Amino acid sequence: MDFLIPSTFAEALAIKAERPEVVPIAGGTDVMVELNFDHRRPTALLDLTRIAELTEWAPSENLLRVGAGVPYVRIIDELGDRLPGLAMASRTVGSPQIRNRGTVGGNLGAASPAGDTHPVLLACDAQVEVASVRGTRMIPAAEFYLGVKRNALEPDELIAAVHLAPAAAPQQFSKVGTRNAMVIAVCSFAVALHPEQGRVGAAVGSAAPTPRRALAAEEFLAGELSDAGLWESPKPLLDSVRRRFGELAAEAASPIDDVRGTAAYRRHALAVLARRTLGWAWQDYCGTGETRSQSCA
Amino acid sequence: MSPLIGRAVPRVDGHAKVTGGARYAADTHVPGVTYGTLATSTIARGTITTIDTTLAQAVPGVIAVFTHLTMPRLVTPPSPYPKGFVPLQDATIHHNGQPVAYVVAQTLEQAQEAAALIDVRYHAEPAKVAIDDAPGEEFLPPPGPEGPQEFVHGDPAAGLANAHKKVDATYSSPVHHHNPIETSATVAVWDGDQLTLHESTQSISLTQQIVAQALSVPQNTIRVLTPFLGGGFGSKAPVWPHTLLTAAVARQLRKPVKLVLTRAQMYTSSGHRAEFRQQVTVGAAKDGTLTAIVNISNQQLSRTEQRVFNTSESSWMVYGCPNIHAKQLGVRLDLPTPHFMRSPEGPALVGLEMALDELSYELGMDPVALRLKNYTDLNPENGQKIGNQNLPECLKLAGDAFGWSRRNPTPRSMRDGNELIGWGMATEAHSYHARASSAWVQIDTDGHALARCGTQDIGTGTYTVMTQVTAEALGMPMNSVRFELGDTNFPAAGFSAASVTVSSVSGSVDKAARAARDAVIALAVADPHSPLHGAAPDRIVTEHGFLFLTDDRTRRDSYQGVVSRHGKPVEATGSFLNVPGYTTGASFIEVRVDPWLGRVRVTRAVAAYDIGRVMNHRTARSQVLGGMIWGVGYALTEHTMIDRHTARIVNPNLSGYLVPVNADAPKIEAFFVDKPDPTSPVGAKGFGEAPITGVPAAISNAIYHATGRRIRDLPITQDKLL
Ligand SMILES: Cc1cc2nc3c(=O)[nH]c(=O)nc-3n(C[C@H](O)[C@H](O)[C@H](O)COP(=O)(O)OP(=O)(O)OC[C@H]3O[C@@H](n4cnc5c(N)ncnc54)[C@H](O)[C@@H]3O)c2cc1C
Repeated sequence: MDFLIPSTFAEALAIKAERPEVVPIAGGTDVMVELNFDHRRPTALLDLTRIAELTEWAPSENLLRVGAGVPYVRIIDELGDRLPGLAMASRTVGSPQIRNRGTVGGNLGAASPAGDTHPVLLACDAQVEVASVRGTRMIPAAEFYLGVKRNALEPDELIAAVHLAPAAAPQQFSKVGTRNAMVIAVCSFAVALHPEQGRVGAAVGSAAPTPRRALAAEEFLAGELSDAGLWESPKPLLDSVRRRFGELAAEAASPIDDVRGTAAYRRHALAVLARRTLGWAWQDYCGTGETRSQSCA
Repeated sequence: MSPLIGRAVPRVDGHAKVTGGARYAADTHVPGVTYGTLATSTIARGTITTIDTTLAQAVPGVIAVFTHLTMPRLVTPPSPYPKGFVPLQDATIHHNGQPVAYVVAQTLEQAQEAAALIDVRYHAEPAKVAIDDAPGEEFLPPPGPEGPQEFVHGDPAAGLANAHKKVDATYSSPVHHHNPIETSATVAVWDGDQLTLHESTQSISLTQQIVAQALSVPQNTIRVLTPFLGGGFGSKAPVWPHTLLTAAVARQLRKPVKLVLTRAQMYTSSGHRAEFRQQVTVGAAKDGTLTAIVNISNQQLSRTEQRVFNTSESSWMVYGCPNIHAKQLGVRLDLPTPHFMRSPEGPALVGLEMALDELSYELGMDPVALRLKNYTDLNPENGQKIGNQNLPECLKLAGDAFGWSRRNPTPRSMRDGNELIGWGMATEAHSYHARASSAWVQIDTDGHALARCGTQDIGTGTYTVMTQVTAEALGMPMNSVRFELGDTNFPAAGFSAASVTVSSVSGSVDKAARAARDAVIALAVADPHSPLHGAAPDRIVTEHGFLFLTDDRTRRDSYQGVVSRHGKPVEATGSFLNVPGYTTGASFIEVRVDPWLGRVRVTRAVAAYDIGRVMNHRTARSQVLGGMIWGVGYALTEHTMIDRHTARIVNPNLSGYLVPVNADAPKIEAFFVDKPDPTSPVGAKGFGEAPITGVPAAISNAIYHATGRRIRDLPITQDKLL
């Protein structure tokens, strides 16, 4: 097996164009598991960790451009205030060791339906910047996930970055696992308020073949909020609204039974997560400053 | 001088362990070593029809591929070898994951590559892998080493008929695996007809014996070395086939061979805790006095072995009851042979302690009071005391520290915001066996002592505690004493399992050290150059490496002075057979349950035990931490899942088999009664396995208290609580 170590992104793209079968490796926290379990035997690994461009983040127009190779620990430490949803999801990934190595680019590359950043990227309308020797294109997160562990990359493409707007309003992420840490999600949910657009982003994870936006829930809530003029003069949400939002969020899923949980449990838990995360986010928006535990469920 | 025994001395091997200086079996470097790998069966029951190794043999670096057709013939050792067969001796498949070929190559990668290229064809037969697959097939196995599988005392039917209140319920737990961090490794090195085995084992002497039987060689031609072990929990107490095969292959090839099991292979190459189901019926009079305990259990056995490992002694050892019936049924399934897993006495106790909690609600009686009412110190088998006299003190120590008296017994009565809080408790209990041990102590001319015993340190702290015992018996500082273990050339000791090591080995080490001390005192009083010349030996004490006359402490000599004038080291040996016994305690647990998600967090655990004299507060506490945290896994997450159709384990790794992680570990407090056991020269009882035996029940009881839901099937996953 070859281990290719490009030092620039251009060099990496050239290799990928010439040998599309090479497997990129960033933090390696997915790739090495696959090799270890003999799930795949690539002819070559393309090490992306020496490419400085990938490990940087910076403002780009009115968005933030986060390099594909920025590890979770830096998202938490450096971007927690501007990308709170992504930082919350990052905090729930694996263990400190995994957060030191693992990257959003890797999460996207693996495209597991259970990847923790996906619901946040969907709820926040993130764009995935992908590149090849042919050029660069932007793929909206909602069009990126094609199937179980399948994404919209062409064989010669690499993920360069994700672009997200700095949060203008509260965002929340919540995950149910089979233990308190070091778990693949049983299901997860993200919600992001977009008052400037008068809408809410919502997405489910680990409850369908791909991460998915909960469109009916988004539309329902946008309608409720604008009908009641709540964006302009925020008041606590009616329980019935939160409940309906939860139900619609759960309906967005098409979960299966597996070793981590049953489909029925996932549907139930998604409704709870959606209701709660909305409650927390809305409470922040109202600026009541109440603690989460008093507001939840 | 305050005694060394009891002090919370840090581990003497700690530095070596955290700096990589401790050499485990797989770390052994042997020049010219070759690498072994197992290819394992993909069916659970049937026969191999053809096995083609052509491609495997052609892989560069491959030295040999052994199948059942080419493997040297071995003798199947008798019990305690637990399998009942040796793989690669015939075409029969007894379980999924059974070795079907043993590949040896120059490198591990070559061996693995070759193993993947072996083409095995089977005639597969339908396999049964769960108790539910074999209804009506349970039977009463013949008596095992622990005695008959059925125990009747008094008239249980009458006891139940006369009960004021009764509980009759079925409790179950799935297959569990040990998951020590060190996967088992064997390095076999032959020199002529002498074999050295670097082995991951909880018993070097048993390894020596079983390998000798399998290879038909004299036991004294085999030397087994285990200076360090990365955890065992029972998985490395027996000798498993991979060790026998490695020794045989190395002999055949006349080359050293190293085999390290993969994590996945650990799930089929060593034992596991059998799937277990028990019907527990308990009855009590109005005042809580137990009138009957009935425990009818069923557990998985294999088709080649029928020893029962999940045993029910807790049915008659903990509580005094005139009418007891325990029956240990088994059912043969197409799975690897189960074995003991810390603790084999746990599963039955979990059922009893959950049933008693249910009974306490039936009676309207506090669960601690119910236990205090019924605990016993008499074994109904023989009427003898069992060492359970301090259970009430344990219940009080832990209960007070926990704040049990503030508990409102009504389920769902305690909340914090949205979370339900529950408090539960259970008795913990484990027997310890009697094992003979011998030790050797030498005092050198430089005044340093070396002690040796063929025991093991399985991570529990044997090195540390035996250094304390030796130093205290000699009257030397700890840093003048070196303790060595894990070598069959040393005086023999038993296995490090069944909670027996400290209780057994401390006796022989203490005796050997005292004999060495006495020999040095004898030299001193006979030596005209010694200030102690002519003194009566029984008037001499030893402290800090010095010998003093008790009546006149200005007359003193030192170990170094006496032995150096003597001109050669002084040595002595000691042997000891400990008295078996029973160790009990109690654990109190707080859980917080998110009622909407069914998520349980164990937030507080307080436990107390009577372990005789506490030899080292730090290592003793570590046993409690490990047991408590593992109990959280037992109660909430751990479950080896076996696919009913393919008979394969679907989660043979630490990602799918959910052991607790740091975020699952509660705050833990441990207390000890700390009274010397009179049967031991140093006051030690057996400890190790007791913490964990009641924890799953205490957690389940706390969940009931929090939610009003009684979940009798472990693990209590979140879906079960919705
Ligand atoms: C113990 C453990 C715990 C874990 N816990 C979690 C968890 O809680 N939540 C979670 O979501 N995940 C978890 N994971 C999975 C993993 O850590 C994440 O998916 C992580 O984001 C992967 O990032 P990485 O940089 O390590 O990716 P890598 O392993 O390097 O790559 C992952 C995939 O992406 C591809 N890839 C990487 N970078 C690029 C790029 N720039 N362009 C194109 N393709 C690329 C690779 O070829 C590969 O297919 C865990 C993994 C482990 C081992």
